[in-house]
Amino acid sequence: MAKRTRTGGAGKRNVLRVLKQGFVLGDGGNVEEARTRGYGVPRAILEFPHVVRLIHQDYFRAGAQVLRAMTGMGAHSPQRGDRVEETHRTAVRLAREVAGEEAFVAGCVGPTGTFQAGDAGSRDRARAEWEGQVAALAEAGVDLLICEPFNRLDEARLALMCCKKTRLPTMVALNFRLNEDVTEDGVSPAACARALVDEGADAVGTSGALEPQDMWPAVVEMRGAVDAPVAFIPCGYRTSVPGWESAREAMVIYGVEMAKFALQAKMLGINFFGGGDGAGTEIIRSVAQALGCERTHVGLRPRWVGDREGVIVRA
Amino acid sequence: MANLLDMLKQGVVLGDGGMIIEARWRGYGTPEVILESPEALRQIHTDFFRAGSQALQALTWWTSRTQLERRQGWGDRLGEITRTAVRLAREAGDGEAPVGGCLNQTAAGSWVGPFIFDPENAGARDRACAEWDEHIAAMVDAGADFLIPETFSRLDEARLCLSRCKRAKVPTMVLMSGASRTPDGATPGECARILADEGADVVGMVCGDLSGMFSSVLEMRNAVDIPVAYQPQGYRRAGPNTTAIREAMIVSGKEMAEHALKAKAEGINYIGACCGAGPEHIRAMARALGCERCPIE
Repeated sequence: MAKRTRTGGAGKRNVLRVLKQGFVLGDGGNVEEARTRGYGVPRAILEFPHVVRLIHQDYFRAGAQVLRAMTGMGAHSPQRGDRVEETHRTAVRLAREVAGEEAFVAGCVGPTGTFQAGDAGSRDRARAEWEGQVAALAEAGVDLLICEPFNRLDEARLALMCCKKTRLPTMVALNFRLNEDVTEDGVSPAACARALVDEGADAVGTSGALEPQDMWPAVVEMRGAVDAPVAFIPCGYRTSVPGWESAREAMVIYGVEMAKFALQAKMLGINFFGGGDGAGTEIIRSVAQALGCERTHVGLRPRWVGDREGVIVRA
Repeated sequence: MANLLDMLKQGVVLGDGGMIIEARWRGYGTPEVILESPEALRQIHTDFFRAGSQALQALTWWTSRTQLERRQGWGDRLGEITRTAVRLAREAGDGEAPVGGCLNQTAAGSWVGPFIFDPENAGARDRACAEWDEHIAAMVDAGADFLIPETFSRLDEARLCLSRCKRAKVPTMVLMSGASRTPDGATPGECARILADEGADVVGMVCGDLSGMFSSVLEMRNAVDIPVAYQPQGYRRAGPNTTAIREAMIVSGKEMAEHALKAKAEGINYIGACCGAGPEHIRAMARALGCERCPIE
């Protein structure tokens, strides 16, 4: 694990420049990864920091170039009050301890769960929560902010507005409904992308509860609509299978398929690939191998474990 | 320290999942993880323990001298590696979960070369015994509470290994693996009877398909009075190419839990899992059996 000081991430490189110039691999669904290991987030951040650090480390070793601090659930944290800020600061610190100068750390900003478009009071409450949250994230030294996954454009716009006050690069990723290709407030991916970029988003993208093949059309549409960097963060579970939630261990989308979509995204000029829930460290490793950015190779292995590299087309 | 045999008298004991694959899944090779990332290895044990494992298996399945030597040239580090592996499991077990030291058929897995053991060759038998003796001594010295000679496909080799384990005077669980009849011609029931007669404290099956292995375990159950163990894979065995997409071949926790309940109903005493089963699977089994230790909050 690399040691570092608090200032400047990833060798002082600018994350936006890196995104614009090429293709960046994020991590997988680290909150879900914590759950599969038996830890609830955000509780684990303060109670089991070594576990959270280890999860970041496992993604980092696999090849992740952006580590997402586990702050996306901050707004509906059961640890409201004094400990929210402490939780955020700790979450960022844990990711940063692992990332060192070699990876970027993103602060995640998630939906409040209580936002109602027509209710000015709920908008004010959401804004207050986000402003406090992003201020804590900025102070803790994140390299960028990622607003995800938002089901509604209006809510995402409000979150973006709060993020922009920090002057940190901000990525906004939206979740689209299967077969409808619009947000909950009825906006197409292209229109969303344009609106968000107009309002200052540095990168836009898709993220959330759809498996790669179902999320693909929306991200392609976004890519065609804007010049800004575009991110593709599909779910790591086979969400197209009805009832997948109750057998989720058996519904993990395998590394070869995720890698295929990452390569496809890269070829299409998409700039960021990350995994959602279900994309564990092994899955991100497969993607990293395909992209040629695996960081710590896991040595020889017996045949019965499989020769997966042989199946992946190397980028 | 809890005693495995006492625990088995009192009821079903839930074991853990497949350590090597879980380590692999998190990005650590075996046995490198033991020396290079001990905190990551201890955490895997801890995660199984918190899920509800009542006994833990040290990651010593791959640390016999020949395997270490052929793979890493680490033969001389056998003691250090084995002792560290046992210690990490003990630390995670926190005095509550007895720790089993795993050992395997000599040169398990054809990729490390031919088997040392050869029933026709007395010299090879001696070499196999020497290999096991050194491994067993290191594990017992490090505080292993019981021994698990496992994944034996041949009964004669398992019997020989059992005889060496018995000299260490710790409880021994012998786990067979493979087809319905061993290459040396014994059925699961015959294996169980003979191993029990020769002093095995627990017999069972390991590393087979969840349902495919079940009938073999039942045969063992019907053949002996001693505790019987059932440790299936968390992978579905379905066709020759499944290893390439093995993440997609994982059995759900729900299905593992159903089989755990079925095994309990059939009088199986030690219910664990093998390759592909992570803490999430053990947690699902623990919930079904009513022994989840630390619920997710």
